[in-house]
Amino acid sequence: MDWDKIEILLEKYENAATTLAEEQLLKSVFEKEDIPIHLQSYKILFNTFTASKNELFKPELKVNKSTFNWRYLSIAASILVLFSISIGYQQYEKKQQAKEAFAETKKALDMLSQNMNKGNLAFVQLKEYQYTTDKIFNSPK
Amino acid sequence: MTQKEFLLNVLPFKDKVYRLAKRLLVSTDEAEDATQELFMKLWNKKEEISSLRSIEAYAMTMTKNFCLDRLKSKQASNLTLVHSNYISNDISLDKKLEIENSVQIVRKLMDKLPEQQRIIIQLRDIEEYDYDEICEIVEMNQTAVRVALSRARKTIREQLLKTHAYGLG
Repeated sequence: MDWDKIEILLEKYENAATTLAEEQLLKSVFEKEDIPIHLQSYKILFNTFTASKNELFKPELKVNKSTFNWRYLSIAASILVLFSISIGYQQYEKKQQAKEAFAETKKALDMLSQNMNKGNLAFVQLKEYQYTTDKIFNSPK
Repeated sequence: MTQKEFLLNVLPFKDKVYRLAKRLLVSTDEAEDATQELFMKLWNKKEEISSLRSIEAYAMTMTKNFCLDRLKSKQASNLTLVHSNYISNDISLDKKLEIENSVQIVRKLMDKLPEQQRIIIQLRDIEEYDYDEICEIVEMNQTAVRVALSRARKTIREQLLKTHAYGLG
């Protein structure tokens, strides 16, 4: 191994002047065992870089679960709102109808009672008549 | 876009999104939550993204912005105490791990970089994006990206030499 060349490359590396190919060459060189003592620190450095690439994302990637949930949730919510509005409207209609029916009945009963009262008045007159006839026919005994 | 097509487009880079989220948010749980949420967002935008040149670059930009926002709101909601806890915890962890697990050391060092540098070094040295793609993702020009990357690389190696020398001595 031509270590002079490697050292020139290392200097270029530290000045961020190496190409990707040169950096890959350095990595592969320092993977081997026989490294001069004064270059050992580079071995640690490059081996770490190589090793770090093996760190993987372990959990399963979940992509659309939550987005789909949101969509379904909003649909469900709007259906619920529509449903409750229609139910509420029906209830309101029913109540309104009951109110109307009550008012009608009340009116009818009122009319009935008014007519009854008219009838009563006639009775009063009749009573008066009865009273006077009684007076006339029954008093001289 | 059907769900099948969407997953076909999106699954190849789910690990990259997760790793970037983890680089920024540090905690595995938070990074997983963020990834889940990001893909949900992408799915909701499926009509828009189907016309994009690179869905991946778009997703990575989204990831970057999303995580930076999370970090900001965390700081705003007074979680800084937790954060400083994490840092002090981190130092003692560093000491423990420095001999047995050098990979962890570098990761911890990366997590201490400023956010912008963290993103760029993640994209370049781990995900191996070319500069054009990185510029698109981080919304910076190439010079600025290279400067940040160089700074990040130098800082990590300096720190590494320090902890390592300390560990050996």
